[in-house]
Amino acid sequence: MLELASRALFDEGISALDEALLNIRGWQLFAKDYPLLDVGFQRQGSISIRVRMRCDDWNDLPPSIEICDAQGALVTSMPQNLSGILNLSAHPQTGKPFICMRGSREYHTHPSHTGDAWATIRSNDAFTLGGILTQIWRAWLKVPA
Amino acid sequence: MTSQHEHTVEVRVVTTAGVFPASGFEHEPAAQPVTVVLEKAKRALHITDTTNWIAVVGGNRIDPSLSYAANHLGPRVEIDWGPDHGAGGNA
Repeated sequence: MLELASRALFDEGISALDEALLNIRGWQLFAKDYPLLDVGFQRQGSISIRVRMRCDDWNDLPPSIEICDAQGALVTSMPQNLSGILNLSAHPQTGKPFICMRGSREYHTHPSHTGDAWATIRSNDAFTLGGILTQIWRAWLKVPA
Repeated sequence: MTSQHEHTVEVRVVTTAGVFPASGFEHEPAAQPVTVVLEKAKRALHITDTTNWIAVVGGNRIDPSLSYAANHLGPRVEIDWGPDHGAGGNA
């Protein structure tokens, strides 16, 4: 996809991440400049984790997603595994832990899931940038404080 | 005698596609199923597929098929509406 078109889709996707949404969910935007979306999830008033989505070629490709700590360092362990969506083993392409969930680039490029094509779900409202973030956030909410 | 105020709730629906209504609140009958305002939001925000979406108020999941009263909601309600958590891929 042309970068201009990808950037326009990205900007449209994050335009609805407004104050009302951030407040009700306790989200904090650390970066929203194409191609990077970096959102922190608050628990009891402080940032617990950050979800960093690299959205180059959005939405021909799903975002590449990393889970980071409050300082932005890559998370290598979790007390509970985000309802099973955080895979702590090395991804064959990145060598890093990855989000193993539909809507994550690492999921769709993993040899176990290459048959589950991003193209079949990318127009679904659950797989907008906000929708993917929401799915990760709700999984994180299930991790006890 | 009960007032009109006691029979209505002020409602706002918050999604990652936008907020409905864009400003202020909708006034809905307390006895009306929550799903009615969700359908309004869906149309207004051009959301097409809400399969597996959940509605949450104050951290608690509600049942949109029930009324505000039956969900113990009011007089002012902010509904957080969006997809449920993702499922792990077991890679």
